[in-house]
Amino acid sequence: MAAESCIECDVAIVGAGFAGALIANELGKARKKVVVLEAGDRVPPNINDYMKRFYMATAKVPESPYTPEVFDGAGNLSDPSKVNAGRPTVLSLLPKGSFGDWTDPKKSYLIQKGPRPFASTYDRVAGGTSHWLGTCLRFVPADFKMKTNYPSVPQFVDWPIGYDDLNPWYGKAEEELGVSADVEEQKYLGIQFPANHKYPMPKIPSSLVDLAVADALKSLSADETKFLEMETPPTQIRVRNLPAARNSQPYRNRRACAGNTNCIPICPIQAKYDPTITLNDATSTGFVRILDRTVASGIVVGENGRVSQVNFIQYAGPRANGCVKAKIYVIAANAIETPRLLLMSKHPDPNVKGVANSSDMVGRDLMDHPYYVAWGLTATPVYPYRGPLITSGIGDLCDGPFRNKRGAFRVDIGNEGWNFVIGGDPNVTTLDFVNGMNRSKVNVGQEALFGKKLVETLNDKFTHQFRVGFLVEQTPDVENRVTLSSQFRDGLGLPRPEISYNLSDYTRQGIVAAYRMKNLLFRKMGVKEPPVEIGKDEPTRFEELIDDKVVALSYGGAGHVMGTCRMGSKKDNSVVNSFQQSWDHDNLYLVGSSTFPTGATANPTLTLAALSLRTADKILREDLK
Amino acid sequence: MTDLPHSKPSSVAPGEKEDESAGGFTRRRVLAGAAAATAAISVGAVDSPASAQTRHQDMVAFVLLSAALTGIAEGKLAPNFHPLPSPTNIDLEQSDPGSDPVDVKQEYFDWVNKRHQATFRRLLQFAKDSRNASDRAQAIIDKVQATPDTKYLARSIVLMWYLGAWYDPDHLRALVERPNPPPAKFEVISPKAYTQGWALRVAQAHPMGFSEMQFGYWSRPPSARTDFIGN
Repeated sequence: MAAESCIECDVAIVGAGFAGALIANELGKARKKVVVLEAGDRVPPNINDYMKRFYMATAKVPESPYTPEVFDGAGNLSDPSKVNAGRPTVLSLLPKGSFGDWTDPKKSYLIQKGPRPFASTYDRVAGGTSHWLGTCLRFVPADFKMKTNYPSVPQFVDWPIGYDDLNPWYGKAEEELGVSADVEEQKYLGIQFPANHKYPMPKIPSSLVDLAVADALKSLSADETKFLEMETPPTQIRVRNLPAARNSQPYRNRRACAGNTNCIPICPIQAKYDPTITLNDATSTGFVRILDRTVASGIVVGENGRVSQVNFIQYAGPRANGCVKAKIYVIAANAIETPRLLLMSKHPDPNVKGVANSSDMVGRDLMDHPYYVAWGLTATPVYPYRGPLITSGIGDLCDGPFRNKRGAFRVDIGNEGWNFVIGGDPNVTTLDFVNGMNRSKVNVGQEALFGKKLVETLNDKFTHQFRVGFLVEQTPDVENRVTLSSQFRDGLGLPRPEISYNLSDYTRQGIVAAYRMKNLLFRKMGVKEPPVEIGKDEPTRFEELIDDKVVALSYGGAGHVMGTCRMGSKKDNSVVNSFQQSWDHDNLYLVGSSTFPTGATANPTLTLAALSLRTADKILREDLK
Repeated sequence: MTDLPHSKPSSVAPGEKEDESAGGFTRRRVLAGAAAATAAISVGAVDSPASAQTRHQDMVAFVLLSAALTGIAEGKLAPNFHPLPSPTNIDLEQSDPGSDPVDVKQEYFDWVNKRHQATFRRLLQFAKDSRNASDRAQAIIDKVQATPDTKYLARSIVLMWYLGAWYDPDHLRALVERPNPPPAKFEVISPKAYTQGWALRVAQAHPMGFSEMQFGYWSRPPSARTDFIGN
């Protein structure tokens, strides 16, 4: 491609999600000329089309409101080989041979090599993975020093920066995203704030479900909680309101949360932050231009080792190739698409596979928070399906001496009853009691009801539904990795990501501890579990011996895609430095949760937002001064 | 996501008499299948001058039928529904089926009428016949359960009101009668229908993604169930 045909700018950013939007906006405000390449559709003028798609979806999965379409015209999962900018969906995590066979490349965009499925998904659309919950936890200080604190776990490393380095950037990210929380309540496990620090908005109030859990925790005894191996007394295990990028009062021209109970997949009133808000600010500076339906296909490295341009394919109209030249390049795809692009790109040295990969670490140490969920009926009504999907959790269990032996976990308390855990309530339970079925496992007599009896029964079941989730820390494992498929391509002819993924014993033991905590919590609350069996063919099923009994467990994805371009303090075992700058190419930055060396238990968004703002500051201060 | 079967000949009960006076709708057309059934609507009762009265009475009957089957009050399903001269002495012509800007009942009526007209007419007749029974709801429920055709269509109608979604009666029957039942299939009727679903209002909440409440309501106990559904 002729160099003179390239678009020119100061900074080229690949990806208009959380990290890309925040950096574009900071640079735009500083009057730097920015071009953002977005693989998916543009920022829509309003969310009406997203809402319509959500309302009409029979499977209201996280991906349902967004494009590209999950289903084709015939009602099958869209064939990823025909989609220009494909994406994973939770509907292709089903058993082999079924509708959404996780191993079938005609159904799954990710080529899943196993042995277990990688269960998280992401979107490819301007705004990125807007189907997030809004949780904005900070990491606890120990999360940055895992090797130092827990030397017996060989996979752990320290971050090249610590909590104190990120503290001011956390504050700036909380301003930008608009976080509602209470400072005093968030001081636990060593989390500190600058003097007189305040969150932008007061905390989101607790739900009745939260209060029921908090009540149950009050009577925990030291004996009952021995299995947790905490240093602190059980009285310190408490329910805390989650900091959330969800308005508790009008903020930056957006209204307060109205409790639509729909943060995932979409807030119908945009009370929850999503990156389209920052993208609109960025384009309003007049210095930021977003090219949608524009897929980066290669990073070109010049003779001097610096990136000289990024090539792209546009598919909005007739397919066209193009390129962008900049002083600085920022890859903000995500922890699967960023390594994919790096690996697709050619390094001038034939001994180096891909760009930024002299360490051979690109694509490695893919992490998630394997998500263990449990559900049952409470003794007294807790009135779910009201308020934001999640308002509180138990964070105090996410660090302690046990981390020498097993993964930590964070507990989230669902306000959405059995909605997603049984495959789509209220539909499943309603169908059971109308049509005399028992797929919910609570219509044992297979009663088919009409009228008053139907109302009374459904009211009783729904108002007692309770769901709890455990986000488990996952070790970074080098063989959990993203590579390129040699066989399968997307609609543009680009190789699709191939994923190898497993859970280490350390991670599985974290899930075992979560299972024990669930038993304790349910006993304290008087929650009765339906007799749910995990099918033998469930790809996420595994068995563990717990108290001399074989127990079948399973996990889901938390949507927290981390690792694959990790930061470190040495060039030979990491991909970027603490500013997310490539060790190999000075003018290349890789941003987002792909740079996390370890994954902790907090959702990654606030930390990746803080890191992004720190990177934008570095680019402005040093590279473009 | 599903391609639902439309009216099948088997959904018309043997010996069921069609309303031949209503503008050319005949049994032959039903037997001709889905396309003809669709066509029949456009030339059916709703278009002839004499049918305005029928249509009015059918809608009153549909509200009575729906309230009996769902357990949700008539005035909630159909805002401004007025049984006249009195709730225990209902005259189909005098009664007001109600009017509201959302008017999901008309969408539902048309939806069912288009797909299962013959069985639907039987259900409406049950409501008309039982309108002044001492326990109207129970009388209607007893009648619809007498034959599989009416029972499964009644269940489809309940699910429609509860979930804003269509589960075809033949499919509902297959789900309980087949030895290896298929996964449950349905289609959302419309965005409006989804937002008007009653299942989570029965739970003293709201359809997910459609709250008409204000910030912080979730930290307080909900109003009584009767405030939501009138029963």
